[in-house]
Amino acid sequence: MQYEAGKPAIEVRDLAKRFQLKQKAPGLRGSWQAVWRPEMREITAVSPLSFTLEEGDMLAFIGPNGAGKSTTIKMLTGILFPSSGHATVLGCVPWQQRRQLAYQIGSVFGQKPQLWYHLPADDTFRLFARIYELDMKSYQRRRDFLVEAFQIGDLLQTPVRKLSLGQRMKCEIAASLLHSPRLIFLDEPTIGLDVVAKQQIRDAIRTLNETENTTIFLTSHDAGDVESLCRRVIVVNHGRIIFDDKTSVLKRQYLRRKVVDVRFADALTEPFTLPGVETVKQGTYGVKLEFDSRQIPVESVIQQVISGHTCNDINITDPPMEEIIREIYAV
Amino acid sequence: MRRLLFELSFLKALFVVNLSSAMEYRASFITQIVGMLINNGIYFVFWLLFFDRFGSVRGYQIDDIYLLFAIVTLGFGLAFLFAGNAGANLAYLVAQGRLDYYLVFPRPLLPHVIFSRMIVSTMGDIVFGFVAFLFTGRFHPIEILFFLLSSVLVALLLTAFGVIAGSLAFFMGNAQYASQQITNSLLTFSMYPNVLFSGLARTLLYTLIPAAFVGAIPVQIVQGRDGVLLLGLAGFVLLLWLIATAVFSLGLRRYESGSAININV
Amino acid sequence: MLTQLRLTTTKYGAITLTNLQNQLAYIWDALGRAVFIILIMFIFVQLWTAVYQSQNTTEIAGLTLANTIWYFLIAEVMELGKIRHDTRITEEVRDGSIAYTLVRPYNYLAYHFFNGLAEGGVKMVLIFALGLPLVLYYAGSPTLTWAHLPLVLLVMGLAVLLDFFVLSIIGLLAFVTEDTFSFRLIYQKLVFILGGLMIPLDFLPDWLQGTARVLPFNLTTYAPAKLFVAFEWFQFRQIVGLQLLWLFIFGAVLLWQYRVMTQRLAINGG
Repeated sequence: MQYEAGKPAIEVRDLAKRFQLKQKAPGLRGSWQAVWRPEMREITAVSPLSFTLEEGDMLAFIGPNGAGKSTTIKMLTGILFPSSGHATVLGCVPWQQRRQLAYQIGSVFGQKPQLWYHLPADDTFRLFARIYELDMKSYQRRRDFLVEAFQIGDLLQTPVRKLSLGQRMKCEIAASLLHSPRLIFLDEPTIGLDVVAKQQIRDAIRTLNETENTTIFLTSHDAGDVESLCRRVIVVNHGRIIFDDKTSVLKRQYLRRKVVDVRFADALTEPFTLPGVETVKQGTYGVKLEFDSRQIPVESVIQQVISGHTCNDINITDPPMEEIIREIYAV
Repeated sequence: MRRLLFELSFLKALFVVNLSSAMEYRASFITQIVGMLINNGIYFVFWLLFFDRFGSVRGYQIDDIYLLFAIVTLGFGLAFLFAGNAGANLAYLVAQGRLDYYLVFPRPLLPHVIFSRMIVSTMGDIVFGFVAFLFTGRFHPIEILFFLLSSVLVALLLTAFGVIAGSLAFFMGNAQYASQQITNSLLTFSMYPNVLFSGLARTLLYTLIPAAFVGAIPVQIVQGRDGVLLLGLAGFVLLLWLIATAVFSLGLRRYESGSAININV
Repeated sequence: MLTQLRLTTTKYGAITLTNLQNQLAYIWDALGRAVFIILIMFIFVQLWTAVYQSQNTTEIAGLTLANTIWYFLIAEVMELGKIRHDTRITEEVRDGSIAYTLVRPYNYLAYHFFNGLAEGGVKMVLIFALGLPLVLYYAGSPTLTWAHLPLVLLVMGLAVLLDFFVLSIIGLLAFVTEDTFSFRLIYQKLVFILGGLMIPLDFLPDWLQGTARVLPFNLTTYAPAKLFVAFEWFQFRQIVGLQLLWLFIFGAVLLWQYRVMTQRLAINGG
């Protein structure tokens, strides 16, 4: 089946998933009771959820741990049967047309590696070529393209267990793009990676979206991922959508706070203060500042800091995603 | 037909990747195989000592044991060399939500899952099976042919049974041990002389725990050069596979992935 | 001195208790695994009934059929209740985490012993309880007298300790060889024959029996099972003597191994 152009890549209507969970009271007594009368409780992982995603779009699907992100991805990739509701992904009902869909989507689960641990990534690549029934010529072309995009040329012959986490992740993502999927699910693709690796991965994904109009469905705890990749954000909590709009709107509303860490060459002798800036922490050789970047531009804060002191290091960060989400709940 | 050939060549590719992965650790590769030879050898020594002391038991003799061991170990070895994820491993994958990995690929799920693991030690079983066959002294071409054919059928039977046992995890959650016990009981029963059991136990071995089809019947096929019985065995294997695929796909609808564990209550 | 003793007892007692609690949480799993004893015992009963029938006798080497059936239940209880800590030791040695566990405020091996005691104890009780109905049905009540019970329990205790020593030595071999799997396998499989797990030593040919009786394997499995079904003072004294001798030998090896190991850790800095 071919997916028709002009239709949304993902359409979700009232999709829901519930699980049964065994409960146990603490202690030996609780263990003993659980042996005889296990208490079952039903939990809603995903409450009826509805949204659509246009082809070529890049969506960040975010929320705290246990919000139902992964469960949603699993239903959309055909891994899980939903408890109720409908969904079509590239024209397929995932849990009914799992294999048809599989040819057209790619998925990266940051914490569930796909590469064979003891073998060089190239061996897995070749196996994947068989799995997706690619002919050798187009496989070679695609492989060269991905090697270029992710800069993994010199990593492919090394057993995966000997790669660093960042190198491994780049190979992981490249592997799941071998069959040129039209839609990619990325579940925490940059978790635990260093800044350089994160940037390389983001660049490669963006290139893919620009050149091939690949649709991206991303979950991440990293505000940087969301900001640099996605035009649209959906925030879920307790299985419900609590925010669904452009990233710029999210940013304007919530991502305005910046955190600046400064290490000075000389010891501070008096309390560090700047107008409009909150001093979160102060030590002998450093301060941590937080401010609203809409009211005071970042440059002006930095200038004020370096004009009075000799600095060894300055680090500008966004508040963690969790904090932004917490702020969203407050609204 | 082309479809089937393609899937077979895919399974072959899977096998090659498995093998090269196992060979990455040569020392452990060899110890596992030798270990299995020792393991089977001990049981063999037991029966040697046993029949040395007691002669024959209800007409069963050491010669029968040779053939029984040859077929069961070869069949077992073939089954889990290729389909190492059938049985308790399948239950583990289901309970831990590890089927996710296979579900995102456009390949038939069940063969992809069970063929994705090679149990290296089974190479020891395969070697042992052939050595035990040498002890039987049955070298008539038909006997050799029937020995090989029934061993392959036994391998298919064991994988089907393993799939059914492993699929229990869909229905009862953590079924790793249960499925292990069920598979083990099938193997244990099939490694003992059939003549020991009567009544309800005997019925059980021809139905719910089809150990007779793993041990006694193949022995009968080779000893009696019984082609009809061989066809009968093939029919039973087919039936068991139909049940296995039905149970598996029924279970898949209840698959919970790993999510249930990740939820913070 | 006394407070120290009390503290030590409560410490190791707490280790056993905590793991006992942990075991209870997985009691269904444990039960599921132990159920296998019913099947094994059923097969043994069928096999040995057939043997006594075809030999047309009521006694083989001094054991009746009922004795033999009880023998196998106790032998299986001993075998399956053994403390399997050696793989954990090997793993800890291999990934280097032993450097951290060694500095914890308890004796490393004692920790494993008392931790394993809970697991082994639960397994022993389960296996005995599950096998009991079948054995009672086919073999009737045991012939062991109450007076001899404490003595058999003593032999069982020494058997568990002896096996613990051997497996500790095997586990610690990881310092010398990368793979301890083969040693463990060979040890365990020798118990099948020379330890009397699959066939009582009394049924073995004489040439093998003589050797098997002085080797340590039978002292962990055969010895308690045999004394349980046919208690003899002479054999009891012999067994306990041999158990103590082997405990002494293995204890010395273990102590030496332990010393070399801690030294090596000190040199390598963990």
